[in-house]
Amino acid sequence: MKALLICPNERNGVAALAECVPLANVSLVGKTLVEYWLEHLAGLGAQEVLILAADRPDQLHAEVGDGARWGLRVIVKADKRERTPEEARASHQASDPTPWLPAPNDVILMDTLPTLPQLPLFTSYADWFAAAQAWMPRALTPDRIGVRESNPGEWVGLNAHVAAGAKLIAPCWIGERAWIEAGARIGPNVVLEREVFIAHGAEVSDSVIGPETLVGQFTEVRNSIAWGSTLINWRSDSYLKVPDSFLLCSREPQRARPPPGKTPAPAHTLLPVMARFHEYVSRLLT
Amino acid sequence: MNINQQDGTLSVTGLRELNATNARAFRSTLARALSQDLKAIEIDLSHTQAVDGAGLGALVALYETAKERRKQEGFALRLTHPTPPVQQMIELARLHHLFEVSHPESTPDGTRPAIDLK
Repeated sequence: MKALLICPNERNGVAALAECVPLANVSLVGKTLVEYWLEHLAGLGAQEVLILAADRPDQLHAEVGDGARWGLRVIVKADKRERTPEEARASHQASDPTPWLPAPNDVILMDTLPTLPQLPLFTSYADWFAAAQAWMPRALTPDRIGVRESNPGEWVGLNAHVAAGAKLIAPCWIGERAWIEAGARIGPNVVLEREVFIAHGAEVSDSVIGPETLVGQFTEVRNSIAWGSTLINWRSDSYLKVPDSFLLCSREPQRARPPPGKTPAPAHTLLPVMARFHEYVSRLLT
Repeated sequence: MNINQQDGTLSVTGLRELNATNARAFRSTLARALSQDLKAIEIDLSHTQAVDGAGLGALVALYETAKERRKQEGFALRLTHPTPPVQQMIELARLHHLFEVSHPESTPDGTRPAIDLK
């Protein structure tokens, strides 16, 4: 059985997010959108999936590979523009004698999560945030190795570190290898994606923090989507690139990979700056 | 950047950016403009498109000066009409806990209230 996925290309409602990552690759509670759809199609009995990608197909291919992870044969095809499902059916299905999954699962535009068709993802930042929140309690599936619900509504991923003095407020999702320092306050309505670093004293509420993002000491992120240095307020649609890495940045350039068994030293190059900022703000707040 | 003083209030307008390129000059200019009879500083951020850590530092330094003044003379600092990205930076750095943050949309007559120093 065969199926076809269409990657969303440009969406004005979430343009700043699409600058950070192709929308099909956007991480939502620990997995990318395309991963959720491939899992879904594999569960419906698909064996081969063709993915049409107009936006950065190389990144999509790097994400899904040949599909063996899902027991699928996946082919990523670069396209010049985003096709409608009708166009895709006409150009790829009509002349293909291979059996396809029955409609509507034969050709899917990845604009929603598989079991939440009523919640559009890319019409606005607020809609994207609402979908992420709705997905959170559904995300603890049996294939999520190492994820535990430490308290009702508090999900903590594999190898995530929550310091003793940190506070989690449900609902919140702490992604794999996330690191939360003492004095941080996370929640409610927060998703931290994988390898997020929350520094001492930072507060995050009603927000999604993208993969490998550093939230600096004593900062406050609320009503926001933070993706590397991009900070989007999903209520006001305002966004900016934060110019100071000690406030908010991608961990990728600063990260030092520790030897196996050693405690990671995330963003160690920023610590002196962050410490000064912390001292400065805490002095003013007292 | 334009600076005017009237009735004990120093008003700063036309500030297009407040970052590493002009934060030092901003601080020194305002420091020079402080006079003994000054009761308030009002900074209009409606045209300010970019603020960074240095700019926030300049605001905090101004806050500290105002705080010192306030102890003795009831000094006030007001930030008015911050643009959305500037407001985001202020909130990210938690300076809205130091300054009273205005919410322009909440005013019934559509005017934007000032941000008063706590």
